[in-house]
Amino acid sequence: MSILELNHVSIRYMTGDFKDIGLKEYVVRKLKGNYHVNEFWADRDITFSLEKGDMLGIIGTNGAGKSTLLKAISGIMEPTEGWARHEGNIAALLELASGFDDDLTVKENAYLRGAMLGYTRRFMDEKYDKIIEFAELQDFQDRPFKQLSSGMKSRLAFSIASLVQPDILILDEVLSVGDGAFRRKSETVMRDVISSGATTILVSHSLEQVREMCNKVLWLHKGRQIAFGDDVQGICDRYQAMLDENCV
Amino acid sequence: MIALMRFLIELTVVCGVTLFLQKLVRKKAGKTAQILLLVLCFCAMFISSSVASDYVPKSGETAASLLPGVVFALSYTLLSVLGLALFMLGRRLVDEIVARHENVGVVKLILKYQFLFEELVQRDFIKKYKRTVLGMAWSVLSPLLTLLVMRLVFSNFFGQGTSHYTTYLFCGNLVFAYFSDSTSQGMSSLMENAGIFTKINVPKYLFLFSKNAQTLLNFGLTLCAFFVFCMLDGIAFTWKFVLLLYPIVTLMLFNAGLGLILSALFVFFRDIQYLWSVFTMLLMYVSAIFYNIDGYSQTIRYIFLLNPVYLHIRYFRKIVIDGTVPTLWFHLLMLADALIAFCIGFWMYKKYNHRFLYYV
Repeated sequence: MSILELNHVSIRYMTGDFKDIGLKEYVVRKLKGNYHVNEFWADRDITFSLEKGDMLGIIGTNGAGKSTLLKAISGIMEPTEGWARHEGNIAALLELASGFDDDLTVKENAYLRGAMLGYTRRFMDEKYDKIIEFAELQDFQDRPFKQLSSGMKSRLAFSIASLVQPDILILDEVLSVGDGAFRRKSETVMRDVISSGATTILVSHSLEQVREMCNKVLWLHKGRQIAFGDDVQGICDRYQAMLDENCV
Repeated sequence: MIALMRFLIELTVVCGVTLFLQKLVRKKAGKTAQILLLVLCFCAMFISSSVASDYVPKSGETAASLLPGVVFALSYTLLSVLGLALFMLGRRLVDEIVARHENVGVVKLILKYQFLFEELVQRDFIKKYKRTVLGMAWSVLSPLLTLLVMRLVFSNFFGQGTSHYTTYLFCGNLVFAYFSDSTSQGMSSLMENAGIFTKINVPKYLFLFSKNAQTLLNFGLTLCAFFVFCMLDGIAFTWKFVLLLYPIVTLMLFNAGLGLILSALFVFFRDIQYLWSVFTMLLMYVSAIFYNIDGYSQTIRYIFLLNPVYLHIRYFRKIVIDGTVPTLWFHLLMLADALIAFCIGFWMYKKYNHRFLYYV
């Protein structure tokens, strides 16, 4: 029984429909006879499944549909076709710094984020000190969030999401934030999370990271699934080869 | 002189007892409980002042004229302590039930989202009064200023034939301000939080409800000012005032429903904000806030009943000024309006739940 399963998932964006372009443009285009709705398939026919304890790396160039796929997995989006199913709770870290409020203090933001990720107040009370300590923000607790550097913001987001032992953890370009020291620290935490049996999905442009940490890899290109499997080194090599080819 | 003494006695008792109870609760309860306690004390105040108003002093007897004050003080203390006891008992009961069924899906969901809801309310609250000198005082001040303006402008035109015109005007303003605040702020609630719900899977209606909680709090504060004005206007408090809870609940539902509808529409059509502000203005003029519709024909007066906001204003006026309870049909009509709005709103959220993020 796999913990996460995607079956022929396709996601479609619509552009240029009535709600998008407004009344004036709608009438004009109708009159000219060139009104049509553009379809854009961000993901097309993606099928894979993960077992407990797997760490999946998703690779692909910009616009390959990685983030959209993560949204479907975390339940923010509904697949236009196919279905996605998962067991247990998901902690999704998509574009870390968004969703924080600039006017609140660090502490208030930490609680708000905790609440959004589905923790209870009791849990946050217990873990708060640990979170702040890990994020190295002890001196900033009562500062407004907007005074923090972007690295600090990401550190806080990472600390909140990773200290909870979720069943499925989704990390979108997370490990590339923070300075070198914090990156090493967060990789250690990641290993702890994985060894505790959680399933992790990592989106990264750093192939070294994927090669080093993941046991499965999914390669997307322009919404299509090019490869999926546990031959991490092989797929990464092919991807690297494609990147090199494009450069030349 | 005696009236002043009476007033002072009442004031000290109310403040003293309320603060004491508040302190008692603060140790173990959250903010929600404290607010509920305040509401409870307020209700106690009404009931006791209606009890006290039965003791009308005979003229000339100095000692006797203090009697209502004493009766008020005693009954207030008794009622609020009794209320607190009941409240704590109920809380414990609820806690116990929750603890026993902690793993049942629904209870788990409520516990989970209760925290998020509280945090969202707190955030909206902090943001609202950021960089204002007077802070929360504006919740009371701004409706009072509106009232003052209306009173100055309209009392000569429309105020002649209406008794207790200030209270009459305040009833209208109170209800209408709550309505327009809730709907106009609720409309943008979903869009404002687009950054959150496109990244994290949270129930989207919570954003609206947190805005609604805030406007409800505003309304509550204005309501306190309203009752003070009633007192100054020589309105007798009766047990019927407790019935005001009914229109407050239906209005809450109605506002939430409209908020759901508007915030959903706002995502798809930003035009709605301009339409709505015009519509709100129109509604203000047809809600009989500053004029009296008694002079109109029966048919026109029936047409007014189609306006849900007017229904609520009328309910307030009937209870406060006339001291009569509206008919059962009147109650049902209000409830129907509220339920219809709420159901449509909920249905829209259910239907478009996953489509919102394509348009933000």
